[in-house]
Amino acid sequence: MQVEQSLRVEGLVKWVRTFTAQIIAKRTLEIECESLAKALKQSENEALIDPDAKRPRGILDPNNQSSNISYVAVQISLFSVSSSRYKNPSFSEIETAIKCALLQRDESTNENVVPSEGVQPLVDRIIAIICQKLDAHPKWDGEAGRIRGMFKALLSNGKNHTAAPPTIFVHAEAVLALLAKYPDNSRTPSTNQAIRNICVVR
Amino acid sequence: MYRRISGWSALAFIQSWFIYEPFFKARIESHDFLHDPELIRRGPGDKTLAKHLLGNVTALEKLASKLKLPDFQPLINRAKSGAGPIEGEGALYTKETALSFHQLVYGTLIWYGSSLRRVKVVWEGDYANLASMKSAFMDLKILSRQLTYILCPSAYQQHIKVITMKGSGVITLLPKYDQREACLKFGSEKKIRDSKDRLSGKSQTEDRTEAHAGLVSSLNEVYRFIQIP
Repeated sequence: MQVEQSLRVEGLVKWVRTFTAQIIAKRTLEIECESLAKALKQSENEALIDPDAKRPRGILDPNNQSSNISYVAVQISLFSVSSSRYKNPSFSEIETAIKCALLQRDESTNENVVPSEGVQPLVDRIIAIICQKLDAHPKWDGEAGRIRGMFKALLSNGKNHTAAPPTIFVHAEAVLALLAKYPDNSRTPSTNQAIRNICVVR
Repeated sequence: MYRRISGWSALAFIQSWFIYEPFFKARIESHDFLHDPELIRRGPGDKTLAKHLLGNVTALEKLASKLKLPDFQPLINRAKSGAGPIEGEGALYTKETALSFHQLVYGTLIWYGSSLRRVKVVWEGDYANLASMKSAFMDLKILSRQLTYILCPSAYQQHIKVITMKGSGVITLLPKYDQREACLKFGSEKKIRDSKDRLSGKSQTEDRTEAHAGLVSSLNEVYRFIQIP
């Protein structure tokens, strides 16, 4: 596969920026929180004019109850959140994903990459090759070992696998960005795509 | 953050900036800066970086001296210049400043990595030594800000384009797995990598990389298999 040069340069640039991702994200969050505070202050002032308006929650200075509301400047320290455990994909889901990949149409010829009747034998062989490769590699330690173990258990035990679910690390900065942007349930984005858009690290 | 910069692939990237500097210098010399539309005017973040450089001249002198690098005077002069990004609309990254910028990125990455290692060592070790801890954190604070200012502006992106000839030579900067051991040694020599990590095993990043390399090998096998009718 030929990767476009411009994409490779862009990818390299972004990858190096990940060396300071936490610091860049921290500043982005501080700016986000400041914007949020400004919006809340404006909303708060409007609520004071209209006493029936619902009082929004915000980053308020608790000692100041007057109409001249002040907000605490946000300074975020670096932080982390706990990791979560998610359920493994089932063996049949893996099989289905491979099948779908093989059944994709080739855009240039508008034909299936693999004829549908030939898919199942191919899937079986692909899984056999992956199993063989996983067995062939020397022992891996740490996380690599756990990943290998997970794949082995999934592939060799089929539907009855009992592998421990993998640990998925939540992107802490993205989570806080989400919370900063949507501090209450009434404003929570309703679609997965909306959440993905917020969590993109720029 | 420490794991990220002390992993072999990050170290390989940093090392390549040092090893291939003569090649990059030749590429800078041959690049037509005057007719490159992206380099005529200042880009996003250039002004901030220029202001940061002018505000930290002493720190830059210290950095150059510690790492035995040439001073960053071309960059400082450009930042001060009336045609530069602060007073004028000109780019910070020019033919005259390109090599200095290259050395600034290299020096900052090295010093940032070694500051992170120092914070890690102090944090894991002598909690009572507050002076060491404070000093380590202060260094890290300054360097992380500097690195952020360097990596975000357009100057950095333009530099990558120039030294890779708009991407055709990008392979030079990409980490190569067979040079992993040399990269780790480089990291230890430059004090980016904790010697304990070298003795006790692999970092999470390396674990991931090994797993990735193994899976890529398997997937290549699968790919070859699919190509055969």
